[in-house]
Parts: sequence; C-alpha cells; structure tokens
Amino acid sequence: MIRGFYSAVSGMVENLTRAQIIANNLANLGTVGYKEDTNVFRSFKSIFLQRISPDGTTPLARISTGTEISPVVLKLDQGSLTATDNPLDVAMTGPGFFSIQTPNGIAYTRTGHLYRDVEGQLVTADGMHVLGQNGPIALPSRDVEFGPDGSLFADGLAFDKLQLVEFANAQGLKKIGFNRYDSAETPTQAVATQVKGGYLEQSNVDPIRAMTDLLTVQRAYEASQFISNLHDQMTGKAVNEVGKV
Amino acid sequence: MMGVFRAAVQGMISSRNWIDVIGQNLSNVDTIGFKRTRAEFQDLLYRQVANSQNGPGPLLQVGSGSDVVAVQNMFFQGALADSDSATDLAVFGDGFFPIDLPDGTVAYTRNGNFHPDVDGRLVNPNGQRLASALSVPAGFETFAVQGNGEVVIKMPDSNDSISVGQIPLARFANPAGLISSGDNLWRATDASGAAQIGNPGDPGFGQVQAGRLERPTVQLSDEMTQLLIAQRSYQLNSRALSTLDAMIGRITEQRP
Repeated sequence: MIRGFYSAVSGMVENLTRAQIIANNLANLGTVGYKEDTNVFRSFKSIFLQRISPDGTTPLARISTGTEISPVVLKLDQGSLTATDNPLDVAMTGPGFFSIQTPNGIAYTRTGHLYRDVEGQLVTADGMHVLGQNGPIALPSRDVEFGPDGSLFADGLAFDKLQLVEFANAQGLKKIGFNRYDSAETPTQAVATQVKGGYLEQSNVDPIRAMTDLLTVQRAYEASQFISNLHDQMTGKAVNEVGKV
Repeated sequence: MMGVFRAAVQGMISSRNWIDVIGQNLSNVDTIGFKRTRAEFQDLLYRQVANSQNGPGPLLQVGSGSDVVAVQNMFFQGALADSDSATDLAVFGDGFFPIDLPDGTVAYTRNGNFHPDVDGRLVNPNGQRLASALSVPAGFETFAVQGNGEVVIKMPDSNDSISVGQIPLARFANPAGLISSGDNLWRATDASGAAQIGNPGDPGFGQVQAGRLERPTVQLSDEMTQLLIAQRSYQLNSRALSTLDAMIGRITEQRP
C-alpha cells in the first residue's frame, strides 16, 4: 500500500539484526578460535515506476522496495597467536579445523585449550573427545608435544596424529555454538594447515571495526525510522486534511 | 524481543567473569603455592532469523553471545624460594600435600607452609594437619627430608639422626579438573579423578624440599595486560547494549 513505508521498515528490521550480529562478535572478543560473522546488505528486487499515458506505459525509473541482510559470511582470517607455555594448548595456522566427537556426531573446531581427562584422553574444555587417526587420542601423560602436521609426541616418539581437516567451501560451515562448527560437506585431509603447541589462537574480531560498524548501523537504523515517520505523517495528512474545505 | 539484548548482556557477563578470574590471580600474587587460573570462553547457540526472500539456502544466524566454559588451573611449577623455617616444604613436580580437614574429608594443597603443633604433627597456618602419622618431637636441632619423603631429625642431646615418619604426596590423572575450595586448598572431583597417594620420588610425584616454599605462578605483567583487555571487552559490550537499547527505544517512542 504505502511502498516507501515498507522499505523504510525493512531497513529498520535488517539494521537491528545486523546490530545483534555485531554484539555477538563483541561478546566473543575473548573466545579462543572464534571467527567473526560479517554480512552485507543487498536490496530487494527493484521495480519500475511507470507512467500511464494514452500511448501505453513508459518506464520512468527503477526503485528499490527495501533492503535485506545477506546470509552471514564467516571471516576466516587467521587470529593472532599467543604463547601460553601450556603443553595442551594448540593453535592452528592456515584454513584447517580439528575434528571432535560430540553426542550429535563429528563437529569441527579451532578452539585449542585442550585437557587430559580422567581416562587420559585428549578432550576439549567441555569434555568432547578430540579425534586422532583411530578415534579418541589417549595421552600417556600431560607432557606431550605437537608437531607442525598435528603429530603427537611423548618422550620424542610419535604416538598419534590429530585429525586435521580442510573444507573446499569453508563458507558452508555452520556455527552451532560451544565453539563448534557443523558442515554438510565431507572435508579433506588438511594440507595447508600447521599446528603449534603451547599457543592459542585468539578471536579474530577487530573491536575497532566492530564499534564503527555498530555506529553506522545505528545511524542507518535511525534514518530508516525517520523516513517511516515521514510516511506516517504524509499518510496522516492524506487521511485527515486532503479534501477539507 | 529481549533476545535482541542477549548477545550484549552475555558478553558483559562473560567479561565480568573474566575480570573476576584475573582479580583472583592478582590478589594471590604473593600466596605461597598459588596456581594462576585462566578463564576460557565459548560462543553460545545460534538462532536463525527469518530470511524473507531467499527461501531455502544459506542461513542467516544470530548468535547469543559468549559464556565461560571452564576456568582452568594452570599447574606450572612455581619457583622455589628459601624460607626461614626448616619445616617449610615445597614440591618440585606434580604432587600435592594431602591435608586432613576437621570434617573428615581430605583436601590437597601446594602450600607447604607447615609447622609442628603441640602433638608434633605438621599443620598449615590454619591448623589443618598434613595427612600423615609423622610426628616431630619438640626442640629438634635439624629437620631434613630425604629423597623418598622420609623426615629425619637430630635432637640436641644426640649425635644420631632419627627418622620420624614420611611425607606423603597425592597426584591426579587430570589436575586441571581439581576444584578450588579456598584457603589454597583443592578438592578432587569426578573430572580430576581420585587422588593417587604415593611417596616423593615415586615416578610422577615429584620431590619434596625442606626449608623452601613454592612461589605463586602469577605474572603481574601478564595479568595486568589481560585485565586491560577484559575491561575493554566489558566496555565494548556495554556500549553495544546501550546502542541496541537506543535502537529499540526509537520504536517505542514512535508517535502517531
């Protein structure tokens, strides 16, 4: 009915969603291995304004009917590595992930603060088994070393190797919370990924950019809201004042 | 609708917990046998947002912030410093001193600040006893701990050293799973596994040294850097919350 009103409101809704995505990135500034969610806006299908004249219709201009937020794009840039001296902290450089066994099947993560559990197996902070070449990895002691290809050494002898994977289409990965990713794609053995023991990969969220994005989003939201108010006033005038004598 | 604020609020909560953990480390910068702890975070569940035009396809997901998944005790060896008292003990290695608590349970500590009580039993500054039958007679001249934890003393009126008992140590399959119960004591949990009791010098238990104390593993400069980051993280999240609030506020203020 009131075309401009709907497109202004769609601008509000999408900017509010975008603000929440930015807030989630900021909330994960301290989350090891976290990858930032980014996205861009795009417009709905545009339509032609047309003039109706006795000769038929003449196109005047294209106008958009509003904006829509595009699906989340994972920013897979490398996070910075910090040294921790803890032998069970693992960071990765490159595009890979390590595989973990969850109650709902195999998931993938880059979060490397690992533990040795009571049974001596390598687990994540929430107790999920980290997978090696033959299922869960049994550690002979806490003093193990990681080789660059994910091999595990105890007293200089390799005893297992992390199951490192890479994805042809990493954008197909879906975040499922708890630092895990799910993928519909079957991953391949990692070739371009290196493992570094005693380091952690920090979150790749850039707080300064997130903050400026948040301001931009807020102002865009306010502008859309202002437009929707204008449309409301215009409609009010049309309803109440047009036709008054 | 309050879901709008979820991520920002969770971000503030986890930053606050982060600051709390750092604060605990900082306040124990001089505590004998203290092990620094580290907050570890995870992101939370994602909810899907209706994506009107695309239909099925890539998802638009909005996360709900972050949460502390674990606070890990970092069991690094602390530096051993000489002390004034011969009955001060320090562990070099993975072992813990088992402590008998008045309620009959056992706790574990790396704080070896012991002295003999009236019965000659070794007690910590809170008067809790080392879990051992060891009894040290009053007025001893020298106090030494052998490699296997045997305590040997010499009385002033004698030339011979006598053995008065044994210092036990406990170790755990997963020390990171121990839970702190205050007063520099840890308790065993299902995650840590039950304590294995042994003697100093047994494989994996470490050595006990007399006349020394273990310094805390807290590094002031590291903790202050972490504190700056955590504090900024809190501010950023509270800024995100107030921005979201201002955005929502404009809807409710919209006048006809």
